[in-house]
Amino acid sequence: MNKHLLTMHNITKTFPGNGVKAVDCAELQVGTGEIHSIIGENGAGKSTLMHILAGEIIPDTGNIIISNRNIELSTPSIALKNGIAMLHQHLKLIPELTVLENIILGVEPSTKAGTLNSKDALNKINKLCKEFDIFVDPKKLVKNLTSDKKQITALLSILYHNIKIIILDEPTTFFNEIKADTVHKVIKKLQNMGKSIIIITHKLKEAIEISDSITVMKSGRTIANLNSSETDINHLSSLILDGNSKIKSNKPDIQKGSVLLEFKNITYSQGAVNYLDINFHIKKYETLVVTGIRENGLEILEQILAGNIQKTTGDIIYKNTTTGNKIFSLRKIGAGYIPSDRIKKGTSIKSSITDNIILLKYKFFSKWGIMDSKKINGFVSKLIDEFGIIGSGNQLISTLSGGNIQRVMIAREIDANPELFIFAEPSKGLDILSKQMIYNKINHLKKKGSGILIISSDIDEAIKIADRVLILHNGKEAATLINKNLNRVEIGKIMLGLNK
Amino acid sequence: MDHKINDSTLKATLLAMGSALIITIILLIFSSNNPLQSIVFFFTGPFSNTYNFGNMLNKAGLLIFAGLGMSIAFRSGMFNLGGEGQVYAGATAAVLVSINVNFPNRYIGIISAVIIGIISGALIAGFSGWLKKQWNTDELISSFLLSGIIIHFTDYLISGPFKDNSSFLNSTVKIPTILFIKQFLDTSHFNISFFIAVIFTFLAFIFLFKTSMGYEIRLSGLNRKFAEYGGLPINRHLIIPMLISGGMYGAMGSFASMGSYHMGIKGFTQGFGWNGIAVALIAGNNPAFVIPAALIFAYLDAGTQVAMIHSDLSFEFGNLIKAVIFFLITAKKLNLKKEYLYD
Repeated sequence: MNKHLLTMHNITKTFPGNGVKAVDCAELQVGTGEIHSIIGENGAGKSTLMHILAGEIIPDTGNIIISNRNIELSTPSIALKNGIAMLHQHLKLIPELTVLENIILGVEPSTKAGTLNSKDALNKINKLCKEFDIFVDPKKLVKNLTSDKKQITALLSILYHNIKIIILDEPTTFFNEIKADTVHKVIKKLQNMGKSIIIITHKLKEAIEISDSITVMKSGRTIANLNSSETDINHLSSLILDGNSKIKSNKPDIQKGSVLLEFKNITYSQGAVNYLDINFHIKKYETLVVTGIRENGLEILEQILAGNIQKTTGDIIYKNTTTGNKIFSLRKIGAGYIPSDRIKKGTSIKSSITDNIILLKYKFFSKWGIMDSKKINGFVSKLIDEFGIIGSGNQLISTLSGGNIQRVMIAREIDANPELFIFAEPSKGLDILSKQMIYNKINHLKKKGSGILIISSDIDEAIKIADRVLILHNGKEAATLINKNLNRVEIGKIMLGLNK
Repeated sequence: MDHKINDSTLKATLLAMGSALIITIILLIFSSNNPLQSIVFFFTGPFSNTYNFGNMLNKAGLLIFAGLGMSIAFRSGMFNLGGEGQVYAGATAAVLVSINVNFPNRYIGIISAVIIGIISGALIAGFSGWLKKQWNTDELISSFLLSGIIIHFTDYLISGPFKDNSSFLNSTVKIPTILFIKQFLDTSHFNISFFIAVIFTFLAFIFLFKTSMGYEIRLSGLNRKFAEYGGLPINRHLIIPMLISGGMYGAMGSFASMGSYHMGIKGFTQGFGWNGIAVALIAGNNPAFVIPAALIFAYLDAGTQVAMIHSDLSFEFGNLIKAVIFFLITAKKLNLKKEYLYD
């Protein structure tokens, strides 16, 4: 096999704000007609590396060589011209346009008179459908499609171009076995046509079965490059999960506190696909960490808790009261919540620290609707001191570093002294010092009697702070363990479905 | 806090105003047979006598109301494009009340008429907010279309059932003299409404930056997801800012009819509603800057008026200048709307 179609050499990318290296001296080689899987934990740098290849992120250092030519991929359209395209996990389609219009967007074929030549486009699409044995009605509006047809539309919009390298981000995550099989067939067909395919996946079994070779990533580095025939699931999982075994397991508090929140037989499904199936409760004086692969249920769980989507079946019970079919509302029950989307949801970045920090208390500072600036200023300086925020009250959030923004949110939520505190991905993108500060604050809140629910894809974090760990595999509760002498390999195997 | 205007916004605004002035001068040079004279009239006209000066201040006062209302709406992320209709409705409602109701004394009369005008404007704009809350109807479209209907309906009232048949104007009869808002400064339209506008500016500033509702409105406008996450009553703030914005347009209309014209005249608004948007944008949606913004706008307007009367400039020229200013200011500032549209 020609190993030299694509070489990515010494790629490094540090995101400004938190100083964390998302990709660190990464290496990747893919040959013509090769299926190559990239595996690793959440946050290992897989997506960032592929976004760099797709021209969506510009690396700090490193070379990308295609067919022995050094190229600079500064925009997605340049990547496309070089024959590289990425099929995103969150599909980038325009719902108000038809399938056809979405596919030809940007490369609209025109007639001699300059009008849109949809006939040619239609023929080409129909031909592609036949070739790959897939089907979608090109005249349908994308918003009326089922999720798998949307996926096909996105795939067609890539096949429509003359592509040499196709990047697929978690192509089968949202599919059941049968549909995953269709995707695999398409991938094999692409390979037969001489295309190279790079797959980002969490499914080790899939990686071994479908790909020719596998790159393992960890903390931004590419730590292994293997032939899939020479490896097995156990080997791969040990590579992924190998890490700092010295992380001390939290001494679990097994408490007799009363139950605060209960998720009873909660499921979330769309069509025939089940995204979440979970049962848990949280007591006062304890920390429960729900861990797993972010895309395999954690995201959905957070959305249900935040009241953005509604559970399909089951009961959410808060202090013996069922919430019924209404959307669950955290703020109404006085819960604290820090979302994983800090920038769009957790903060108002164009507002000041003050305006962000008084969010839950502004009414408390007003009399007859007029806010007392003196009291507010006193309150804000107190929190700035207490939580080590670097900045002054009237500074805009957009001028702060990632760790500092995090502190503003923590200060706001913890100061309100919530009985139930929900925290998604607490240490995402933080340095060690900030992480420790956050863990201390969480433990302090717990000792005062709050129930803490943490949604985290970081196993080390789970071991550090949990009293109990609930592990999801494919959206299903695979195990709930008391955090006593747990180690990352044990949890990781359950998470990856390798414990049987 | 964000009530301080930042340097780049200020620079951009000054740049837009400066370019508008230069373009105005160039247009004057090309469209007038005696450009120098026109330019002099244009720039000094508003200060040439108390009549012109008074009218300019009066216009500025009316623009302040509109600019304040729009600033609050923009801050909340709402877009009220129906100003024309709301001004017209406010003016006509105030006139019809004044004509048809016997008030015990002038103060009660004037105050009631103005309040009725404010309420009419508020309800029309508030309806667009309610549509947004109920069915997520784009308030930009609904307020604009609704305004079109209101204008035609008001035209009908003025030139139909309430027309003064003894007048050559397409207008209602005059309101009772006792209900005229007293005018000072010679024969100009200048009256107490200017000072009321200044007081309103102060109140709007307090409302936006010192009250809890102002806080809710500002946060809803800057990041609706965040406001929702924090449990703020975001649905309420689809309606309240529209009520305020429409109410301010209503105030503009009722003060114009009670203080300046003393009757309902068909089509008198002449772009008042649009000018409110321009004033708010020049002021960076900050009440503190609405007064200077309104003064600048009124000055340019008065300049064209005077130049039109004393030199060979056409009426269309005045509108052209305003269009240039509006274009340059909005071109810079409308990024706001884009962000909020595609979020």
